[in-house]
Amino acid sequence: MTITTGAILLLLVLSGVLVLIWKCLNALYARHEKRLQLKSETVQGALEEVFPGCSYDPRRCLDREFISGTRLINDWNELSGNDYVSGAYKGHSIEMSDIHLVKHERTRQRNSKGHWVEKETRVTRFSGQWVACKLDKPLPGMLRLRENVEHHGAMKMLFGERRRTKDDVETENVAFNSQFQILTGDPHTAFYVLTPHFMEYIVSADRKAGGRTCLCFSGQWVHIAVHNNRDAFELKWGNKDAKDIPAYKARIRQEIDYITGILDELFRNEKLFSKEGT
Amino acid sequence: MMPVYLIIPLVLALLALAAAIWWIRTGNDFTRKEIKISEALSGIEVSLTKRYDMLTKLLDVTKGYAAHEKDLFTQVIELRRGMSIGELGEKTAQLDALSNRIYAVAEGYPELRSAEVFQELQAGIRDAEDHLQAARRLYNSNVTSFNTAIEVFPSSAVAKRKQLRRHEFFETDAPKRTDVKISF
Repeated sequence: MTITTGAILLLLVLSGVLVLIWKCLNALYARHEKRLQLKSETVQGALEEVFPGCSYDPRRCLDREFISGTRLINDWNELSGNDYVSGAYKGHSIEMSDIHLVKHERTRQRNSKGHWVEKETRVTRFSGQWVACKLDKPLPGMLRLRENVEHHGAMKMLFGERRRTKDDVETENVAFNSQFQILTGDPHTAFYVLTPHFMEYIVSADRKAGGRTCLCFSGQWVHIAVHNNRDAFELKWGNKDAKDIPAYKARIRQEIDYITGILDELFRNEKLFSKEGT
Repeated sequence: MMPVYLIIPLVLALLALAAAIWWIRTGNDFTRKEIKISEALSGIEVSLTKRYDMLTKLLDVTKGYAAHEKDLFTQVIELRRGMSIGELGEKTAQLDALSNRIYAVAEGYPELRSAEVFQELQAGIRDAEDHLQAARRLYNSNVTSFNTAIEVFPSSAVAKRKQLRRHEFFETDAPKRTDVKISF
């Protein structure tokens, strides 16, 4: 009899705990959905001001083929992302999303018993915002610009400000040459795109990026990828953003400011990116 | 263990082999740079010809509206294949002067300026000028790389032996370089 009462009590406590867990999970899910809805509405509103008529999907990202076709980032085998935006910027179609590119590596390591075991590690190759903008005029050649890794401390003293890489062309802008690796099979197109003014702008605007910038001009698309390990448009923990929507919107606009700045600089050269040129 | 009298000739032979490989590689680098320069030069020629063709068409269109502007239509500019960099610079300056004159004449003929064909050709000329600018910068970049390699030791030794000479830069015309004077 005593055992039965104990069992019933235990069952009741367990049921109570399960119900509590269920309630907590439900509350968390509801909170997550509410935050997602708030994020969707606010981001859509903020982006509408910059990209009129855009559509926003917080769960989608850019296509795998679209990213891999640029060959901007080498050696990755997993793509994930979110915050997909599709719309137009100053008359040009744009697509953007957060992108996370990971390389799964299998390495052999000794365990505590001294035996060799295979271990899988994940190495992040790229994490940040990726924007593609359609130009009115296709370019005959492909041009890729990859920002070189910065040196710090003793490495900077010994080997200069940035890691040297092999370039296909060398422009007259020394700072630009040092900052970017220029890869192209068509040097004429490279010089056609890289006007002195554009190079100056890219070098000076880099401080805003907060990470390494890569650009790819391929056919009718220009890709701008900023590897800054940031997740764009995210809500801060707690209710801070929900309480101050204008500040959240301002932060969203600030996050796309660097990208739109580069696009503005490209559009400045109307002859280069307009239908009238052949 | 190898005897000392064998080690020394072996080291010398290895050093000679390394020097020979370096010499051949440096020589080939110079050849590659020269090929790049001639490719860039033909790029300038192509862009200049495109600009010339566009300007000729623009001149024909202008003739239809301003036939009495005799001195505009008497000037003859001839392009030929294989021009030197100096000649290319000279022709560029002549084409610059011609296009400036066409635009100056067009100022007096509003119908001409608003004609669709005139505007299309004007856009085409602008694009051809952009291509010419890109070709010029590419050529100068290749020349800089070649001239630097010629002057810097140790590649300068190979250049001297191969009797390589500095290449001329493609300079912009003098009037464009001078400061613009603005008077009120």
